[in-house]
Amino acid sequence: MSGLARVQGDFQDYLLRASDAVGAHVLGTARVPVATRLGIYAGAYRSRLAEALQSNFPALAQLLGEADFHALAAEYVRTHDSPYFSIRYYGEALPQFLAAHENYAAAPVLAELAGWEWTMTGVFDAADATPLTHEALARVAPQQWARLRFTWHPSVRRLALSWNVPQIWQALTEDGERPQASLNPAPLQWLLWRHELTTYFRSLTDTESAVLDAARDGWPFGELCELLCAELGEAEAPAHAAALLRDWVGSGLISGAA
Amino acid sequence: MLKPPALGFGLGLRVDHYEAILADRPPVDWFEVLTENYLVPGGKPLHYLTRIRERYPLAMHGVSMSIGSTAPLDREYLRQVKALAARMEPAWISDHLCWTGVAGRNTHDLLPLPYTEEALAHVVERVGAVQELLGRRILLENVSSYVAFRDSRLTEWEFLREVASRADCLILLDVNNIYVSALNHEFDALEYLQAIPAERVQQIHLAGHEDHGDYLVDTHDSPVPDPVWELYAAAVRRFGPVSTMIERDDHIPPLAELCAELAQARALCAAALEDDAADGSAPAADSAPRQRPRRAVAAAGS
Repeated sequence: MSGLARVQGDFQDYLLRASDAVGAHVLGTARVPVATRLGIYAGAYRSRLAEALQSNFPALAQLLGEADFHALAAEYVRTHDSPYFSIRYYGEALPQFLAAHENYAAAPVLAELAGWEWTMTGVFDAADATPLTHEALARVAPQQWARLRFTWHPSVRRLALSWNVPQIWQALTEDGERPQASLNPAPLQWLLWRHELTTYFRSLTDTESAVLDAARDGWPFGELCELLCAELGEAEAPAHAAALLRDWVGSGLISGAA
Repeated sequence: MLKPPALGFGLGLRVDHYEAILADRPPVDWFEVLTENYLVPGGKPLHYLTRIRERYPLAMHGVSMSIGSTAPLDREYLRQVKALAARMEPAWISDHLCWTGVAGRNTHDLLPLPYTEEALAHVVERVGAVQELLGRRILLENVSSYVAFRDSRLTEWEFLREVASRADCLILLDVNNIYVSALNHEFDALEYLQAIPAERVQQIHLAGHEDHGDYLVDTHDSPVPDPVWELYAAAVRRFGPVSTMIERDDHIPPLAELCAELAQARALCAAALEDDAADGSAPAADSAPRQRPRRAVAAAGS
């Protein structure tokens, strides 16, 4: 190993693991000893990553309060190195960390809130696409409808939540009265997406969720209608299918149909 | 090879100011953008960057090149930088003379290098590879540092000068970082300026720091303090009217406040150049930097 590689390896081991081999490479002065000098780097490393978590999970930070969030961030930083070139992605594993860690697993709403915030971050800077318009859809020839498949806006995400996380998140971000965490009778499906520059979310019925999943998996419109028939019966299905599609297009969820 | 033309006086582009920039068209000559913030698929960051680019020149300033690391260059990162540059057409691309991690890890810090022949050869080779990949010369910035390495055989300024000259790259001189490191390592900041070849200096950064008594920490979170203004005036005398920007990374004040600070930089630069003209000496590679007289600070502030 070259001298430079050894210096860098030892320096990084000091930052990440507090190992002391770096001491052999660095010099201090009478005024400022080595330990103080190295300590500036160690402190900056920890606080920079903790700040990145704070900026990606502001509602979670608010819910936990300063001291508890600080403890969480410190533990995450201690156990998670960053392999990312951009610090934007450092918090990626925080939801799973919360779900698995003995200190936090007893409050599963925390992991869900973190998952919600992380999903919103992904929606925020997902790729752009021009939404399909009602007018463009109206130009589709009648004989093409059954085989029509949809392209979804790159920002569309679906998330199943066991807790009333969107309500908690909303209260925390709008300084509203914070609702108690409550468990849904069954996991509720949520849809998140971005239209122009604004992030939207709403809950889905089980039926819409099933049709939406199928549509995102590339099922053609004819098969989506059959799925609705099975769920709602032949009388209701056609009008329901048309209404769903109108809503998806109007919300900017669909960026193409072919 | 010629340097790109000077852009004048700029600011770091910050999210808090997007709307004000578009609405008010502030008197800023150009903006420097933190490259990584725009290496995302889409949404607001790229939307605003595109609109601001329609109105102002840009420079791209990265923190992840890790030019001094012994880990392989991150070619995927560089590919994304190149793609962003193709879209935004920045006047130039800069990063730091440092390393940020090894072994697949990123410390997200700008870590210092030992100033050895080995490190010099390594950095020079990598700058060559990056410049070939990006198809343009890059600027490298001096970082603030808090430790010195036992192995170092060169001074920081000798190392920076040699990298720039051997790799044929340009220099982004952070005057605050020179000031911080000079105090932390007990060297003469003016000697540093004197050693840097004027023809390589494409840009200057101005910023603030935190005083811990026995040492300074580069925080980039406060107004430019007087000693940094003084060193800037010396830099202007030494290097001429180089593109200058104020880099505030935290505690971001309203845009108008930064514009006022930028006006101070303009006035100070003009005063420093006038002083030189009055002396009959143009800024040149060999002219010795001098301490800027106190009166210029008063003039700049008035």
